[in-house]
Amino acid sequence: MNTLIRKGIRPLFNSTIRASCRTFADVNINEKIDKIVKDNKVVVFMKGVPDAPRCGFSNAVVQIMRMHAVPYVSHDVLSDENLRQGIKEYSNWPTIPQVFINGEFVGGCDIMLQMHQSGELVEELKKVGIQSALLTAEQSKKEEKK
Amino acid sequence: MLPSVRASRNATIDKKSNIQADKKDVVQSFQRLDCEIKVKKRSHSSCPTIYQTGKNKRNGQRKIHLVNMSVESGVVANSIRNKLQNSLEATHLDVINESYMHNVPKGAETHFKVVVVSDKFDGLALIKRHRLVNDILKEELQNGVHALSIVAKTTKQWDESEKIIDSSPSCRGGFGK
Repeated sequence: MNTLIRKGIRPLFNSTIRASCRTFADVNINEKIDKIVKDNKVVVFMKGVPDAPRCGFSNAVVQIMRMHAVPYVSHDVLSDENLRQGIKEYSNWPTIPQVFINGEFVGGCDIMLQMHQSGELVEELKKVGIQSALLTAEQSKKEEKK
Repeated sequence: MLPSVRASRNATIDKKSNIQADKKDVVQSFQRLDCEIKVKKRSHSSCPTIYQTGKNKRNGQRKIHLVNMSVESGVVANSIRNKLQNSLEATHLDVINESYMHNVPKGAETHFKVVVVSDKFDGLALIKRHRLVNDILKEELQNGVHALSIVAKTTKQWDESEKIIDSSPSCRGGFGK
């Protein structure tokens, strides 16, 4: 009997509750996220906060942003379950962290890392009027040589 | 600095073979007990579990003992491998279970890294390649797989690369389930 409850009824029960709660949240969270990513040039949805990331992948993204000295807005998905689910649906991307530049989804940790390594990130930032600190450092080096 | 500790995949493989040795021990010790062994998938998570079903001598009650298994290629890993192989006709495919690096039960299948080399990626931007892989593994990602790190290359890119895969950044404890 116990197993029956555990296997049959409980998941059903859980999913109904979840489904009914979600319909309320869905509309709001989508609009909320849309506003967040469109009002800011660079937005990072991550686990934890930049000073104390709670996931290695999120930390990697924070470190990349720091290296380029990018001003960004961060949102902690661990403190808001609605946001955590909402962001995955908004961008149709299953994992956290997620980076948005100029309202557009750019990628997660893997993509940020590769863009950083290939120099693509510097270009993307330039497009939205952010000068990467790495680029600034490089330019000042060149000037010194002259 | 970035926490991209460059580790050759050998390190991962070593870890795996250790884990497999563990598994063998568990199975053997069960066999010694003359118990029926069933490998069953737990409904609420993706970790394969060994159920030991045998009657308790004292009171005759059926005793179920759960042992989390550390399986080199578990149920989820296999399904990931099959799906990617079938959909992308990969010329090289690695499915690495990195769950042991994280704050999850031993033997869990929650954190994966996949290395996919396929000519189907030709001409696709990185984000599209990742989306393709994510789409193929949609079911897994909704049911227990919590992190998926993707290396997606075309055969040409793979042949030209050093074929060294960076290990994923270490956990920071935030497995906020």
